[in-house]
Amino acid sequence: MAAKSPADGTPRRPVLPVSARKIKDNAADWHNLMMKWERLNDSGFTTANKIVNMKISEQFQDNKLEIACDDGATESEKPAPKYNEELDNCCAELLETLKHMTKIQLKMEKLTSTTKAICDLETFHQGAGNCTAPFFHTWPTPYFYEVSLKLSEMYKKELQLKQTIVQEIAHSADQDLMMVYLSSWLYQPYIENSSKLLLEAMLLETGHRQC
Amino acid sequence: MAAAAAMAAALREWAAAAAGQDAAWRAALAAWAPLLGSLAGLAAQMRAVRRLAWGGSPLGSFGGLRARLWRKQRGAAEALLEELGSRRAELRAVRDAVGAGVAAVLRLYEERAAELGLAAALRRGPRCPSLADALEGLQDVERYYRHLYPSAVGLSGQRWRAPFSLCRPYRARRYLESKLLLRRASCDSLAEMEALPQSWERILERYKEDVVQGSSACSRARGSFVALRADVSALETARRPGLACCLGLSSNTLLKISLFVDNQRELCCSPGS
Repeated sequence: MAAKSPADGTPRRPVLPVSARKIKDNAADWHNLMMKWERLNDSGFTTANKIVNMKISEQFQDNKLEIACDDGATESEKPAPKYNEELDNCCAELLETLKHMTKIQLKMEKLTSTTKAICDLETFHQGAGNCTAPFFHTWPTPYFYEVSLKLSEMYKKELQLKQTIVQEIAHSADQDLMMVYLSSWLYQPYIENSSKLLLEAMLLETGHRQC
Repeated sequence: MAAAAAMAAALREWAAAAAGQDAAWRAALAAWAPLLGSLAGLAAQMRAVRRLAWGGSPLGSFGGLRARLWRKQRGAAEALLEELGSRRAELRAVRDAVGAGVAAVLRLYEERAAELGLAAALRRGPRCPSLADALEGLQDVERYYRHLYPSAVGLSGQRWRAPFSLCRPYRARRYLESKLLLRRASCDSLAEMEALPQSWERILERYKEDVVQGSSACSRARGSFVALRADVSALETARRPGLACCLGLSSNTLLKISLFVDNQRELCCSPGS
């Protein structure tokens, strides 16, 4: 079989400059990290839900015991609170999930700082008199940094909220508060709905998604 | 005889379509319960956000958290309501299809009524319901679907009425009840949103009472029909607990129609015919 001439083959993609390639990789990393975060959020919610259910059933048992104790038992006869191994395991599991989320958030910060460095490099080149056309379609390079920073800030704030939830969820007796912890974990109030749009726009701009 | 055969053919065609429509209806209804459950859970979460003394809680230091969380919860509720809306559209489509099918059969009856004669329409066999019984069953099915998905035209929705149908009180209250339930599913009243699954269950429960308690021979002899036609009654084994009324009503009607159609076929094939 005759070898194909270069003209017959698929047209070769234009080689991206190093900075553009880095930005494109960063966009893919953003996508992967955000997906991973969502998966961890789901598993963390399952664990947090178990913790809250255990706390509520514990409260229910305690209330029943209290009623029983009020019917004649003295203070010294009241049983000491039991060690709940399952609750302990769930708390450890939730801590582990948080640890993974912390790692992801650190990686997000790193992506942001890399993008900032690319912007700085471009500014440096501009100073040397080079013109700066957009790397991909329309986005100027600083816009990638702006988007990265915005996303990174959202996840940072969300992580702080999750840290508080993990610290407090097993120590609360207020059912409303427990419900709010769970709801906050699930709906991630600091990750705005626009985050998905920003990510998709970045993927579209860098060519990971087709129009 | 030709008119009776035409009616039997129309009923057979309707019964074949009704089985598919019933499956679509059951699928749409089955999807309602989890959606309403999710809405109720969300309402409980939203109420907790309202009740919580944020200042004294460990979350007090998070600026704007309450408003942000509320916004997210509302967004989730609206997404669920949208999904519920699409399920409502499915119910409406089935209701309309069933209504159109029933209307076509009844229209045919009205066209051929003179040819058939009232006596023939009312004649029951020892093991078979009359044409009147079969048509009555059709109206019951149509009425059932309309109950759960009330028509926009409200009380004037029932256009076709066989001349011999049993006179039953029109249950306007129930129409409004189910219509209101659908309207009530909004974020404005959290208490009502939280009670949606129970309200829905109550409405489904009441439909069980609504299965026709007619005075017809067919209703009285239902047990013997089921014994004769095990294939039709086997449908009932697929019932879902919460939806028993739905399939129960349909299978009873399908049974009536099946017996009527079979009887017509036998009459056509018999040497004397």
